[in-house]
Amino acid sequence: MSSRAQVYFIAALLILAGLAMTLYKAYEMGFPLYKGETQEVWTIEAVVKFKVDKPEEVKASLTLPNQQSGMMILDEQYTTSGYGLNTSLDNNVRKAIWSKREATGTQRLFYKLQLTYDGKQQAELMPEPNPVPEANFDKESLVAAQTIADKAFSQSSDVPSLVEQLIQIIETKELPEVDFLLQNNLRTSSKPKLIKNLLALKGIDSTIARGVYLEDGRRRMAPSEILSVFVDDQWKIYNLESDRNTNLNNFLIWQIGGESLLDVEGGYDSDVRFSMISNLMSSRKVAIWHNLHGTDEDSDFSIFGLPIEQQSIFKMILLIPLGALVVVFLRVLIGIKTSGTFMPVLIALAFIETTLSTGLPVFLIIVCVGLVIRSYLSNINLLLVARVAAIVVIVVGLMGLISITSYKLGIEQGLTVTFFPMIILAWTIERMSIIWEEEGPKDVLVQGTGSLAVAIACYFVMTAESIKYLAFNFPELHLATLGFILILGQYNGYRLSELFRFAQVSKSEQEWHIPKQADSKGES
Amino acid sequence: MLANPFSLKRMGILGMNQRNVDFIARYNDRRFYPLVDDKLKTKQAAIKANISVPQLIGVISHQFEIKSALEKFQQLEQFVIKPAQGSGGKGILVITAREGDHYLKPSGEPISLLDIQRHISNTLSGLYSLGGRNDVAMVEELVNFDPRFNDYSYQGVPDIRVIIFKGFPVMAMMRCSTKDSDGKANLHQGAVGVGLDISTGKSLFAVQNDRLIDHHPDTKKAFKELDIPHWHTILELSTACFEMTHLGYLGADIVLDEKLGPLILEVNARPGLAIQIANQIGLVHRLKTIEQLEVNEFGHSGLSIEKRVNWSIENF
Repeated sequence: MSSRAQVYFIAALLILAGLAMTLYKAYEMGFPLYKGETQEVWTIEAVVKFKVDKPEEVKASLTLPNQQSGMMILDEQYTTSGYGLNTSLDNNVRKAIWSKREATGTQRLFYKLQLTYDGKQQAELMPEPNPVPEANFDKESLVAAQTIADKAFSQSSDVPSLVEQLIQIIETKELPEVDFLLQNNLRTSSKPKLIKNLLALKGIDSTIARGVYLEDGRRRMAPSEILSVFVDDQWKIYNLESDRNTNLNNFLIWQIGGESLLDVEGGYDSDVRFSMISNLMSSRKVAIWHNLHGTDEDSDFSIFGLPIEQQSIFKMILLIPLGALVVVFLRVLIGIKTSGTFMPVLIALAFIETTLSTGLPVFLIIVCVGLVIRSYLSNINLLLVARVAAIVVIVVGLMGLISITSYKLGIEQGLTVTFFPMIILAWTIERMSIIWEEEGPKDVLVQGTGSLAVAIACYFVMTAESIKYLAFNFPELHLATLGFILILGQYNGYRLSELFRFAQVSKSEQEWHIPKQADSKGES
Repeated sequence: MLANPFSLKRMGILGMNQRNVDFIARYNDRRFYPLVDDKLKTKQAAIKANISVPQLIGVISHQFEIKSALEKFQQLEQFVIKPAQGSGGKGILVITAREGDHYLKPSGEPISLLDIQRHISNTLSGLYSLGGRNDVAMVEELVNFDPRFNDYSYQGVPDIRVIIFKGFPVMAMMRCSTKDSDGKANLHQGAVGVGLDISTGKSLFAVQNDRLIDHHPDTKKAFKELDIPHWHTILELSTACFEMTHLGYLGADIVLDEKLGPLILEVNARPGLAIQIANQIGLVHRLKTIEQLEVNEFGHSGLSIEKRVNWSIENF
């Protein structure tokens, strides 16, 4: 394979790999290709509170929601404040268990959860239905319960209407037995529990789920209970809190079944309260969370595994390949002359920090003033290194001057001058001044404007929102960038500038004498 | 004013990218670059290969040597100071005469010994060299160029550039300095390029700033009459640079001394493209013709210098 074919092969491979990895990430891992896509993320904080009178061993266990389809847990945090913390997974029920040898006074434990939720999780959480449900009434209650159940049964035709009837009887308390049962029996102390037991009397299985209604900005909410009845081979959920405008689609099931949400040993007056906020997070962040926490963390080998601070540095670094691509493009295809090959990229990086509208004038001011001072320095006898060092000092002085002057004048933008790399500025001045002396002001203008034009082109490419977004979130794309650079490196056609340069000769094509040998061999 | 790229292609105009990819990268082995990038090394190699070069007066490699070197300049009337690794004619100081304590540049501008000292100091610290590397300053004898060229150049030595590809002369031009180019023979600074017929050494066309001209802008001398003496020697001298440098694609710069005849001034591993405008012909067809010649295991035709020169004279 010729070297040219090799390059094209490698370049094609790189481009394909880059695009394939990007598409895989976009469609299989859920990273959105555009910045705008956002998802609602809920942050829920559960506060467990209980009292301990005298120093005593305490243990509190809180049932935690399970990862389910439709709901994606992004992050979990526990604050322990002196407690030992364990999490357990038993029979598909997750629990956080806080324990402490000695505790007194009011205790508060926190559990924070971030998740996305689309309201469709309930179905698969439900337990297998029990064909012979057991009603839990003691002897005194049983008669009262029978009365209610029979009344509802006689007024209904099928299971759904029976449930409706029971809910109505209990809501309106039209029978005195309702109050009796709610107040005197611990097992039927809440409406859902009562209905569950009443339904069991008629041989219908149901279960109680505890959780929270997701509502932005709610604070210190008690957990709600909902009733789920096995009707026509599937679980149907009933909302028993008719007093509030609650939507079952917003109900996040925290725990299902008989076990309680919170168990506290050694304390009393225990309860759990929920606070929540929702915010819009970009889908990208959600996908990162998902890939970080949903998989083995050791296998996470991406930029997103780095601390946030390093990530923001990479945001900048990952733009440089694109700047390099622009430079290659402008030099190889267009033929713009620059002073220093990749100096324009560095200037563009500085422009990104300062923004172009302030960076450009500041840059021009410093270089121009620097050139004037440098022209004096060339009159006194100085070694090169010392002269460049002197220019560095002068540049520092100019930067200070610009900062102070603009601050006093109330132009805050002037302060961004400090983002310019001083050494780059000093070398630019030195180079320009040599070009001035050696080749004249015309070349300074040509190369200076060339460098600035390339820097500005780099700036626009490197600040385009979608490009910035893709460069950081799909670093794989840089394989394609590399591929394009390789291809451009093989380009042996004319530069745009050469079409101007050779324009005069092309006009006289007819008058040309093309040698015979070359003619015949050139065509073959 | 935009050329049609297809028409340029038909004419075989060599573009910068093609020159870099298809010729320089392919035929110029990087390890031979230091020899041509360092004029001191080139000169030493040329002396070894019996190629005539301007006489070397001395070399200044360290800052502390400048003082003693300056004392020696007191004895000299004419000399040239060059950075060994300079590029594009940067940092070349030509002294043509003395006037009391002052030295005269070709333009007649007097400069002091202190200016020369500063110039050498800058040279040593790498001001004029590629990448700012430390350099050495070469002091050479001034070439007294052939008076026949007097009217073709304004305040500077006209030099002859010959492109050598795989040991064959391909194209040649003379570069004449002008007022615009400040006595320098760099075409992009406004010097005039005169295309030379490879077989005869007679002028073909003259261009300044990529535009055709008939007369020297300052001396008003017509280029039509230009006929380079010692043409065959010039071709042989530049062809010999192939063996000396091992570069497949090179530009040899030659000056004609009044007494010594043609001298190799320097060898360039990346010769420019303006020569095509001066000759009004593209390089590609000629290069391809040579590329298709039979080559032996040493990577060239195995022909002697004499035979290669004659081949080019017959074919181009």
